[in-house]
Amino acid sequence: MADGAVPRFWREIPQRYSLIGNQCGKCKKIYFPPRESCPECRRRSIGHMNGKKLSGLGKIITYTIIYEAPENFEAYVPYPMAIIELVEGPRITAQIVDCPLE
Amino acid sequence: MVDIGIISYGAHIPRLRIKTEEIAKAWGKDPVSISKGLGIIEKSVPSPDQDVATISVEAARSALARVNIDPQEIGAIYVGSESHPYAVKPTGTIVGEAIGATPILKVADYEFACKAGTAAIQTCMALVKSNMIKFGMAIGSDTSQAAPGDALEYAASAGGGALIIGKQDIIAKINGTCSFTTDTPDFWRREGRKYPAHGGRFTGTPAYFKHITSNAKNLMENMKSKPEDYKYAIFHQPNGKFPIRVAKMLGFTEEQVKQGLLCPYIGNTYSGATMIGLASVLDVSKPNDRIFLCSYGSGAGSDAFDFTVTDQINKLERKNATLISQFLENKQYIDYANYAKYRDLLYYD
Repeated sequence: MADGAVPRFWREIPQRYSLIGNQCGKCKKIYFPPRESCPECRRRSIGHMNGKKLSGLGKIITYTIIYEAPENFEAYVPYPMAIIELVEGPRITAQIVDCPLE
Repeated sequence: MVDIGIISYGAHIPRLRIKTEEIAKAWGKDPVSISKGLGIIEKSVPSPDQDVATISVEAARSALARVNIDPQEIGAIYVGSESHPYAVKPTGTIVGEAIGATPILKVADYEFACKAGTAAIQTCMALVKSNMIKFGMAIGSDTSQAAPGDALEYAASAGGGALIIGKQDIIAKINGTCSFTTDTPDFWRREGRKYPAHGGRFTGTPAYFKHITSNAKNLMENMKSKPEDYKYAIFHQPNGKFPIRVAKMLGFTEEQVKQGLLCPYIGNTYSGATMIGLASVLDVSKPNDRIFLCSYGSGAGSDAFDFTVTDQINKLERKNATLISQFLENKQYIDYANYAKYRDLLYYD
């Protein structure tokens, strides 16, 4: 984490630790990462975006294996990154850990 | 008097393992005599993204998954470890946030070599008893360090356990606890040093054996109990041999020790060791089983506990989280080169 990113890290603690996204109170669409407003309902959603804890369950839509890692991740290669569609709907990009590469 | 005890428990052991044989080979030692001498077949190794914070969170979440309690009702979290990721910044804050127990919460990190987790149990017990909190969480977890080539390298491993302490719906009642502490420098690591130092063969008799036997005898005297009153006994396990030897010195049998002895398969998880041993026993225990637990922390001290399992154990959703036997099966071996890379033993300039 770069030093300048401390406030951002604080703001992102709920989503990073506990996968807390949010839900539009109008159209009920669920977002991760949480959004300030719903792009569908726009200003009607302002003040109606409610935090929602996601189950963490989903399916892998696609994946790639990283051999050339960005800084600070060199020791992890090769490691898989995947786009995962959560059962609640949103898609997230995440590293897959604790599984054999094959 | 209201009974105080364990409401739920959880543990975590990293998936990576290195065999004693592989470490011995790297240093030109005889693998068979080392493995036999220490009673360790293999040990757990943390992945580069695992530390005491992640292991503690996993163990805490497992404990919560087995029981239906609101994390907001947890009033205290104490994390015992000698490998906290930060020198200044408590691991307990990360655990509290991750399980949703913040912000009305007492938190502190504990350090007492391998017995910091059991010290956390005593604090939670006292806070519950004095009605300062409803539930308390005691965690012991470590990603212990060992200098390359040191005898400790065959044992120092990673893992942790968490207990929720309270007085409603307890699965195991704490009948009693006592401690024994002296200033015995058998093993230490000074501020800023990467690897610990130890007194070699002097870490046995005056340290581990003296503290555990004295404390265990005191507890049995207080409880007016005998070794044969207990179904299971868990002792701190720096290697596979010491716990069996100390058990015999006290009059316990190998049979009583077996279920809680994991060191041969995962190594010495330091602050996690007795907590994981207890988790392994709670995985299989039945109502009315009596459990003896005696931790040891270098420096030196010991905490002893006498538990009785209650009928509530049958209502606990033990299957909702990973059992110790499942952690033992789910493993992947690495070689010494990867071990050196993951444990940060290499020199970069």
